[in-house]
Amino acid sequence: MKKMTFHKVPTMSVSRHRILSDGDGVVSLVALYGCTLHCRYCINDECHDESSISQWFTPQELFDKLMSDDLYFRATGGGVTFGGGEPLLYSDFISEFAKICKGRWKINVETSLNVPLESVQKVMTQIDHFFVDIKDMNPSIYNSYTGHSNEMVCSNLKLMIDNGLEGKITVRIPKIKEYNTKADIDSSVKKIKAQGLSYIDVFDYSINKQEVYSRTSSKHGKVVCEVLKRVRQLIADANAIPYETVQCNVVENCVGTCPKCEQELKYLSEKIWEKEKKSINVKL
Amino acid sequence: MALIEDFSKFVKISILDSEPDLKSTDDSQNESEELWTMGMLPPDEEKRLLKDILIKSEELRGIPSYDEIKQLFNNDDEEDDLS
Repeated sequence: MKKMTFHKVPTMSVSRHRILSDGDGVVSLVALYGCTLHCRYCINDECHDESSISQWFTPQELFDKLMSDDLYFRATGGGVTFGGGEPLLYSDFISEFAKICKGRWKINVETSLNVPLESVQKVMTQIDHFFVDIKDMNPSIYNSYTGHSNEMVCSNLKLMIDNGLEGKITVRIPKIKEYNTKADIDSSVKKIKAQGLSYIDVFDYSINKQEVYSRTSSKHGKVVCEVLKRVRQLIADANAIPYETVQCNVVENCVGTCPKCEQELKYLSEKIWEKEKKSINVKL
Repeated sequence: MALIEDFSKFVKISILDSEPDLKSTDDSQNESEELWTMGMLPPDEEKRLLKDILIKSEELRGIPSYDEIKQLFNNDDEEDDLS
């Protein structure tokens, strides 16, 4: 049978080692290019500018790239989160990626759900968790903020609920400066709860990247490094792999990983994959 | 089931039990507090919960030891029996 070749999709970035921000466990955030909405305070406005495309991937190429963090994903219940832009513009790609993945990693999507029904139908049973940014449930606020109707958002939410996916949906409701009030948000929460959804995240939306960065501690990278180091040690211990981590004193400029950390991860990965090739049970 | 069942707790334990240079400044203290406030329990309650998790996961992780746990939570009430 002829093997299907898959078109490449444009990405703006692949951000590794995301912790507690884009899904459970250690996560790589894949930002796909393009979005139909034009939100007034879009924090990734470059998604409308072709010059922001950094790399094109087929599903297999992306899978191969992310394999470097295979152990982190599996040991922490993490995986990949597709964001953007609007990732469901590429639901064929995500569906194909999920087939390659075969449940090895969790797959999450950060979406506005403002896409055709078919795009959601294609992937909804393959996705582990949806983070749905509904903006506001009031149609006129939504239209004023995004320049679009929220009809598709509502019908897609209903589709997912009708298919019993309530437990896989976190609804994000941002407090957007100059667009919605506390009363508007309360109303949105009420409407969402009435549909049977219970994972609701209400938050103050940061209207620019500088604001987001200023909230991030200068030691964030070192925290990530510390966590990953402990994950590696745990994997080694659980699988009786001789392992010694290198203690490093970099704090301020740590980005969460470095050549030494990568070397340790590679060593452990090869040991684990070797065991798996020999059908030896591993603990991850 | 992943090796680390509750990753958010694991992260917090890592922060609490991190190298001194990571915990020694106000900045790093804020970091811990930020993590605690991410939809989780109030610090006191969570500390108690973390302790339970540490004890339960001791066998699997091989660390920390009883002494390390005691050191980690050395401000806790004396009557708390960790053994």
